[in-house]
Amino acid sequence: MKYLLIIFCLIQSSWLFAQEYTFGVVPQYEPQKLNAIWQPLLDEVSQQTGVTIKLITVESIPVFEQAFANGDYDFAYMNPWHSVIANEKQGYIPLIKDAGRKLQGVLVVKKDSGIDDLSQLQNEEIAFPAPNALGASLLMRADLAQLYDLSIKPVYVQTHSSVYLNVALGTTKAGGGVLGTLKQQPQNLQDKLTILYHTREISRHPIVAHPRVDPAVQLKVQQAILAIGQSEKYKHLLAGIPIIQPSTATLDEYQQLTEWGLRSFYVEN
Amino acid sequence: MSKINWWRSLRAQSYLAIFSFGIMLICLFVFYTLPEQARWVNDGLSKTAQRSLQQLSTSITTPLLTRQYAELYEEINNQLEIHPNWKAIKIIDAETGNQLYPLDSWNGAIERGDKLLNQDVVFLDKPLAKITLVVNFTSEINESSKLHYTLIYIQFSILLLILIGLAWLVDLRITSPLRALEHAFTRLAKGDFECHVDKQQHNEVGSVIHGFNQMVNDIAGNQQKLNSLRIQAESASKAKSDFMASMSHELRTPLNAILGLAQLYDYDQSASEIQKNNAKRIYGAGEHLLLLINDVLDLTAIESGNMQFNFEYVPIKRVIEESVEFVNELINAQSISLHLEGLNSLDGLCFYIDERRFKQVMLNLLSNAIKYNKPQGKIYIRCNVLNNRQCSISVADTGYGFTEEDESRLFKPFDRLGAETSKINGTGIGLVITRELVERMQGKITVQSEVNQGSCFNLLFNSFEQSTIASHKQVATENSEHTNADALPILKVLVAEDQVTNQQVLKQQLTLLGVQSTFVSNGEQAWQILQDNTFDVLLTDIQMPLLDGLELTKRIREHKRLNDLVIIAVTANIIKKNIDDCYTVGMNGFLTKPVELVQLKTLLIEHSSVAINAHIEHTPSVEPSTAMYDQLDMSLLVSMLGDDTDVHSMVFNAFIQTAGEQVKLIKAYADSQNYADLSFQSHGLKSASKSVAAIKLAEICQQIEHFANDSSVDEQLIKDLTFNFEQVMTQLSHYCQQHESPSN
Repeated sequence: MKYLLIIFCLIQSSWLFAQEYTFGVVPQYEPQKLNAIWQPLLDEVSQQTGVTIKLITVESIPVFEQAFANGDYDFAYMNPWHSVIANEKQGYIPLIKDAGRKLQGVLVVKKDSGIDDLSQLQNEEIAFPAPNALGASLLMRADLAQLYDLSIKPVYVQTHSSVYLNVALGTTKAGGGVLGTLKQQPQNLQDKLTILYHTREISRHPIVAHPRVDPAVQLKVQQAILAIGQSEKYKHLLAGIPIIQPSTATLDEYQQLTEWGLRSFYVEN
Repeated sequence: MSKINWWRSLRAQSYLAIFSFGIMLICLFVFYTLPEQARWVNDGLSKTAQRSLQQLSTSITTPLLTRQYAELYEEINNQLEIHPNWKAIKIIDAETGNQLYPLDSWNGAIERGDKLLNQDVVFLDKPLAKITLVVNFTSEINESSKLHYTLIYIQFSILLLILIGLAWLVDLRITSPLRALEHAFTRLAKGDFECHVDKQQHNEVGSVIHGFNQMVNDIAGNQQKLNSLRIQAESASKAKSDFMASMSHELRTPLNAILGLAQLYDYDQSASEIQKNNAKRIYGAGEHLLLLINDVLDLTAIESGNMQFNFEYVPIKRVIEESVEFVNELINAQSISLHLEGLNSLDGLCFYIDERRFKQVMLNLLSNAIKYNKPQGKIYIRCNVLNNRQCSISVADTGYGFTEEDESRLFKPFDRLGAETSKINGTGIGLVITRELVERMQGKITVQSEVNQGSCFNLLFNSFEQSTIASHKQVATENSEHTNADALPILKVLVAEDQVTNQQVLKQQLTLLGVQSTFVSNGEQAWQILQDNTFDVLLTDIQMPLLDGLELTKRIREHKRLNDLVIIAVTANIIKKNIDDCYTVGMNGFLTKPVELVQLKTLLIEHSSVAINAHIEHTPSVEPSTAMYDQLDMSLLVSMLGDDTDVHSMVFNAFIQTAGEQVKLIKAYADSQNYADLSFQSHGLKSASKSVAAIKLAEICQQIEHFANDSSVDEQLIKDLTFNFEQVMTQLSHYCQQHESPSN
């Protein structure tokens, strides 16, 4: 049966290849930069698979959220929590994840603030970039509320840097961020901060596929990206995203976010 | 060329002005413009910064409200990056007072030039934060100053170039032509008429140069005219001088004959009294004429600078006395009294003067004082020895005087005061000559006068103690006494004279003097006769046909054989050149026409010791004592006729033989009140009396003559005349008897 399916697929491939697929990208950066990062990779994938993939970029996160909720993209790159939502709405399936890194939130406090225990933050203002920021905000708030039963006053200050600055300037007692952005801060800012708490880890942004896409095509694309990650020649195409070590993603590893009760902290647009 | 100080020259001044202007501009830029510029830049930049700060405050309102500090930091960092003069920003939270920016501690304004700007961030009238900005515009100001300096440097360089160009232009177009003109003026002043300046410009300077060149041409033309006129004037002057010299000769020659021959009448026993009187009148008139000629000649000599002076130390008292004596007769005739004051103070004092010229001065002054005096007037001669070894001799009269304005006319030739109105005769050159003589003898003459009160002429001379100069004079006097004491030796004299009348006069005079004489008519004849004969003395005229006196002398002096011959010039030409020429060619002496017997004799005696070696034994003459001959002025006699008693006797005899007749006639005319003849006769007797040195008698005669001229007779004077005449006659007879007897 399995073989028959494969033969069928091969027969069908002639017209399948002719179809164009869309690829949506979470607007972490401005569209030009996204194009510069993604287009070479997608070109290479197309080259290797014969599947035509068109890159779609949008201006903002809400538009992106709306788009994948509507099922506009055949393939998409999004954050883990978005992948959970996308799965719920349209049944998007994770294909590729970055096995090299995990996503984890950190809680920072001012070094000389005298705070060394989470309990000291009871009813205090804590800065977060945005309500739906996964590592910095959702995971942190979920952890604090559910694991430590802390009641806090979240202050949303748009960016990770603002979070750290608020903490450093003492306008908030603590701030939620991720290790990556913390390390990117100026040294003098980092010097004033200390990490009080690490959240639980979760896999990083996956590349997902819409269920309407032929599983063979999904497979081809998945295999091509994995191959690119293995190839020294094309490895660099993934570095800009960044996906350090591509590997096959499963729905389960993202589903645990639901289990951790993130839904109650997620703010719908 | 007057030297111009470098800093006064137009060139230096123009460059100096430009230099000063440059310095002034630099000072203006450095001390005013640049600081002002800096202040302006500072203010402008501060305002701009304040505006930017205001904008910043607006743009950070939202981040502040939303605590999006990253955006705040990014905005501020961005602002700090785009504003290089923004050194630091501090943001203080208005509510908590916390420092929101920067993260680290804030240094504030620490550097010089730092400036603090403040701005409040306000949202809905609620202060959110306070921004403090530290700005430092030093680099901008420096940059601006640098730019400004560059600009000034360029401007100044251009200005300097323009001004230097201007100065150069001024130099080229004005200063240089002016200097060329100055140089040309200097050359012109030195008489260089080829000093035209090139006219290179067609402007005002060119016009000036053109004008200068025309002026040079005009001056050159005028100079040429002046030169030709000067040459004409000089030749005219020379002609006049020549004419005067020639006239002098021409006048003197006949006058010589007139005077000489008239003189001879005194010695001519066969001549009648009338003839003798007439001859005396001729002699007197001739003398006057001679005086006039001498005056004119003196003036000519003064004008031509040829006046001769024989300076020696002269006892001044004697000269004054003699001068006074000379005019005594005139004074008496005019009924004027003469007063001598302080004469004795001149005892033992000498003036270094030419005695003859000094006498001329005194006589001039005295004769003026007499001429211009009032009747019965007075003349004062005042002598003063001044402290500084100077003597003043003033001649004052009580005449009509003159005004101060007239003083200036006094010493102008031929400008005789009162010539229009006065009946007094004169040439108007007396005072001119007088002043010239005084000044030439290192004296001074001044005059003061008051109208109708009289005038006073004052002479000022340096005086010398006779004792200091006595030794030298003593020797000279002794020598002269020695020679004078000798009788005229037997001499052989050759006379070269072309004029027959003059020959006769000299012949008579020489005969009178007992000298053997041979006469020739010109130099050539004289030369011929000298070849075969020996003479002691040659009297020669200068101007003669065939061979003149000078050439003759030259020829004689070339022959050793004739070396001892004494050559004496006899000429009427007494201008300096002639005299010089005479001595140059080797003549020994000089006689002026008309030749006076005494002069002739003196000169012959003077040269007799040279002429002959034979010493003629001196017959000691009985020294005429003043007591014995109180009517006769023996010293005057000696000075007139020498000390040869024979000559004296000869002259005395002539007087004795003629005077008696004259006295008789005077008495007769006085009785008959025939004043004209009385005057004539008394004048004649006066002259005759003077000739025998009978001064008192002469004075009486003069007074009689004076009264006769006024048509009156003083009986007492006639009695005095008779009395004195008798005495004179007795004394003369006695003298003749005494001195003639040895020879008889």
